[in-house]
Amino acid sequence: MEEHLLFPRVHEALDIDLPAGGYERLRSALIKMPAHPQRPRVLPETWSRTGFRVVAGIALVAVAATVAAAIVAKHSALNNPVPEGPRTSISAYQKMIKADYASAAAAWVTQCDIGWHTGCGTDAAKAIPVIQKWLDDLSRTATPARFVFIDAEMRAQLRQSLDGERALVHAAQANDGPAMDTAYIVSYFAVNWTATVVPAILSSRQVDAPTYRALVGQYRSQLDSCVVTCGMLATPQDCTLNNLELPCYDLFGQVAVQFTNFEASLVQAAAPDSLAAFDAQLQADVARANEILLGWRVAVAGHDQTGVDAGIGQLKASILKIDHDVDNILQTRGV
Amino acid sequence: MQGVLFPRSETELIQAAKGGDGGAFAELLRTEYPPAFRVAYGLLHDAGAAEDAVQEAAFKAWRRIGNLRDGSSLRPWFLAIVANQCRRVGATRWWSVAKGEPPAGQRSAVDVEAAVDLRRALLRLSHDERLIVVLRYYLDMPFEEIATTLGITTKAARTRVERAVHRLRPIVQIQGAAV
Repeated sequence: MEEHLLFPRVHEALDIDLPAGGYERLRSALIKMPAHPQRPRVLPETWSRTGFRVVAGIALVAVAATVAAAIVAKHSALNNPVPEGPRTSISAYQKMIKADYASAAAAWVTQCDIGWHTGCGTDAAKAIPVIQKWLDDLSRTATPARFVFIDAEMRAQLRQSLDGERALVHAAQANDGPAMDTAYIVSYFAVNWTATVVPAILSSRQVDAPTYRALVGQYRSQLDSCVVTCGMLATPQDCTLNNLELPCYDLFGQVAVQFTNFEASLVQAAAPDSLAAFDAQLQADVARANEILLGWRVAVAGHDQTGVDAGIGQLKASILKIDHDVDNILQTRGV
Repeated sequence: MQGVLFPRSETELIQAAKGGDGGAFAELLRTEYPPAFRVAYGLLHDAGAAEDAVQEAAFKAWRRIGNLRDGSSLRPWFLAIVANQCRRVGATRWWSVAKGEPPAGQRSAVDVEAAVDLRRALLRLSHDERLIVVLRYYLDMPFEEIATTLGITTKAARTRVERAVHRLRPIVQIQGAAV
């Protein structure tokens, strides 16, 4: 049979009418989706035992290294904020971030996905030097005071992404599908995080005290409502990894969006000098929440129920601290 | 009304969707729904599962629309997501896929028999092989578009089609298919 005969044969075998109202049902379902187009990816439904053990090991080492690095980076940034010479200007810092983010965003575009491993190793190998360059640029730069906290968090995010991409390359070489899936999930958090935070850095400006207080109060309310609607306090059993990966992962996504938006907001609308000390405490506690989220991400990806439970507990404590910080800021009204 | 009076180009709709405009994204999928459904049906051989897979793929695509490279067309990117979703579904419901189901429409007994034979033959292919047959012979895609969808070179797309046809040949007596 020549090729031109195969076309009608396949059409004959597969032709089917489109489902009546199919597109309309899809459109209706899409309209109910959240407005924000960026959300983390879906976990695989099945995990091989061997793949899990390997990945869990890698993941635990990765999270320990990432959290330690984040703490060291933050302390370094806070205790010794100006390595040598004067701080970089805000505009120069923004220019550098813009260029590095553009390169990374292009490098992060990939066909690789959960259960779909076409090009995973190759794409990850291409992304590694781009992320490394971004990290190197950040290390060489004396961060402007306004961005000290977000800079430390960005480094932690990029390190985790780098760990994930490296693990992805190794897993691809070993043709280990579950390990590729997990490494991919670990590497991907930074994609959503930077997509929210970088535009905030680029459009950052100092606001007056009333504006800052109003904004902080607004985001605190959203965070508080997440405590209820995201199920963190009321139904932690929703996040049971053995049979409910998807709710657990959705929970992570909902919480991560809240914290990331809060962080971005604090950077975009920088505190006035009169509230700088209060803002520093708030940013430090929000940054701590980001560190917890980095660990939680790895725990979810690594199928580590203990890590997931611990992360939820730590986040609850973190939210209480943030609440306290915001109360202090709101009480400065009229001072 | 603006969309009806002044229909937006695909590029404009993609930009709007990237900015969070869900209506623009839904509009983009209006033209992509038929080929997406056909890819899903060609891979899963089950109309209900195919509709579900396209819907899940659409949700994923909406969440990741920011990843679509500027200047790129939506179709190959979206079809790749649909194919990926079908791979996941297929992995968990192979038992029902293997049963198959007759296609709609009235056909002669001989035609139906031949069609069922080909459907059975397709089901014996791997996911990747079936996908490439569906893209080439069901969606009538040129090799260049197949290559873009799968993120491979045109030469690799041609080779994969040849390989899939070669695998089909002993099952449905395809002789000398030249691709």
